[in-house]
Amino acid sequence: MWKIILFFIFIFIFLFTIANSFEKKLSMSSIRASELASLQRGAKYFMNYCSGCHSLQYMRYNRLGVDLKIDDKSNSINQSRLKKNLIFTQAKTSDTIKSSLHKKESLLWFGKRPPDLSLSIRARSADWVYNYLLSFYLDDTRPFGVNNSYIKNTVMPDPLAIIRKDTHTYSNVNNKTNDRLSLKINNHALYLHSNKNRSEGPTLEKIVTDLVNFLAYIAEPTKNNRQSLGKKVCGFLLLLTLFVSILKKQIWENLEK
Amino acid sequence: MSSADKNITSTHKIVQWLSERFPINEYIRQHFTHYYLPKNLNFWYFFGSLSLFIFFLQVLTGIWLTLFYIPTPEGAFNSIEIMMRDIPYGWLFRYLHSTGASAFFILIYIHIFRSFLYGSYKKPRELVWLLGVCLYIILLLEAFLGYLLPWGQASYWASQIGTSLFDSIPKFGPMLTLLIRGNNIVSGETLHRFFTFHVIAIPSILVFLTRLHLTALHKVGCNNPDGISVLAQPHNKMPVKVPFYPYYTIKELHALLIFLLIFSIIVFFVPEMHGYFLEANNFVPADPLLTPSHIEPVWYLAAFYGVLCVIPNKPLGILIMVGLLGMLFILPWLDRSPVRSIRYRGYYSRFALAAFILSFSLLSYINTTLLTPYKIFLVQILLLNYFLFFLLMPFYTKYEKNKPLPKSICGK
Repeated sequence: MWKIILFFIFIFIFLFTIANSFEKKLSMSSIRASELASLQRGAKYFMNYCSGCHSLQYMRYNRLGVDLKIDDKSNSINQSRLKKNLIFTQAKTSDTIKSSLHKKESLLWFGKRPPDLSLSIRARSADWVYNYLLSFYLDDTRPFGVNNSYIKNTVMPDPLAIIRKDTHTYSNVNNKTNDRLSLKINNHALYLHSNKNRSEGPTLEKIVTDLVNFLAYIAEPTKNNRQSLGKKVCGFLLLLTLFVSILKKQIWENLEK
Repeated sequence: MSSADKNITSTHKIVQWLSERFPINEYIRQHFTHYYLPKNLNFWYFFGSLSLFIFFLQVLTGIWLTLFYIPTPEGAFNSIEIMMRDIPYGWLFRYLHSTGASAFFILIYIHIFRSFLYGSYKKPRELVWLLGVCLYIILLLEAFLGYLLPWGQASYWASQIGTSLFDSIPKFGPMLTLLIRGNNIVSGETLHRFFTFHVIAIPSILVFLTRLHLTALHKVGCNNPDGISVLAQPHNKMPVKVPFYPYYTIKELHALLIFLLIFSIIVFFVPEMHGYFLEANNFVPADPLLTPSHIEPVWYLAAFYGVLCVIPNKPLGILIMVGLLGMLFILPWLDRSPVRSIRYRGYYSRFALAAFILSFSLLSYINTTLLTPYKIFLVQILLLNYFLFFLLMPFYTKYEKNKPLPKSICGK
């Protein structure tokens, strides 16, 4: 009996030290480096192309900063880096990510409010969002000059129009759209920007992949914590199960004697 | 006197002080060290205690969730998302509770299946069975009430349909529906009602009924896979009954750990279970003005929900739905077989049980998918099959040829 108790205590201390050693790592982001780069790019694309209309009302800027490692060691730099690169509104770093699109204006322009995207991946699926973003095509009959083959007659304009391969035709559309809305945008600048992107930047598929990765992270920011904790819990349970099965065998052997 | 001896005497004193004032020793004797069980119980027998474990897990995680949950239409969905993101380990408790709900039903279904398998509902355990059926129905109710609380699209519309059932009761229906909803549609009042019942009222009934279920079981004793009375055993060298502690406590601990391992894998790696434990539609906040094109029920309510979809006449559909559960109440008196266990029953019983299990699982599965005319026909056939299992039982159990029963549970 004492042997068993001692064994238990030994295992307990052993596992406790292991758990403690893991804990130090946990305070940092537990996202893998390869994913991290994609998520950081995704955050960039989201803030540049989506955040004008779509909010992420359950996500805070500073959490994004910590999880995506948009910081150096000291805190002050963290804030300024985050503010310079990802915060385009007057928001504080502790605020949630909200678009500054006015409700009435959005109703006027699109007929509905652009939905919040915090949970879009869980409500639809990663594949759905990926296909949706890639399925825009030119259609003069629609108010924004584009239609979507995945979701017919969607009211969303194509946010990634300027980085598509057929940028030339698209910028014509942008021209038309702009004329239609009588907005005075410097189209020349738009051309320059898009040309630059086309020659050096990643393909549309890669950008959408990064965006979807980012949205998947936003839908469940704790996923990596969950999985890393899960491995430890399952490992511990496995050990304990093996130990208890030996104990069970011993106790039932007593009965046979 | 060494320090160890001193410790022993002081704990001994405390135990003695307590046992003079409280029947703690008698309780341990009665329910653990001198509670005897047949020696040949197999793994099907552990699901009862596992259900008890998951019930307490649900209570504990539920208490924790109530700390942060806001039962208002404006706050419900947000408070859960805040739990999932901002509160340390909030996601863990939420997933434990949501996975726990489904796991509870899986365990209960296996527990019920065990009763079918070894005839645990037959005399003298009818009352244990009846209390168990009551527990199952109240558990369904508890799950249905809890399902509204996340206030997503799936929960909202499932509750809208669920509460509209009462509408078709003649005379009192509309009044009853109004009373349950507190409004003409499912709204904040309904949420508050469901929350109260889910958190306090129904769990208290569950605790009470579980106690009765166990008391009745300990009175008549546990059945065993051979389904023969253990009392009438011939005395040979081998004991036929072993005390609960330590023989079955260690086995149940072993079973519990294996269960926890599987449970943890689901909680930590696939908490949504591909939309079966947490529906995609429930990640969209409830909108009373936007009916989803396909209202899919959660899997453990699907068999009952499906009945309403495939029966064109609503009152008749509700009657059949009640009948699905009602059949379970009369089961002990439908079974005319002299043999309890499936091991010694004839082929009719075996075939019937297999068909029954298959049709109930299929009913639960098909109704979570989009129903097409072909599937509706299939569901109707399966429902017929479900009822035939019970209604034909007096005949096939009476006239089938059983195998001879062994004299002892200790081998041939």
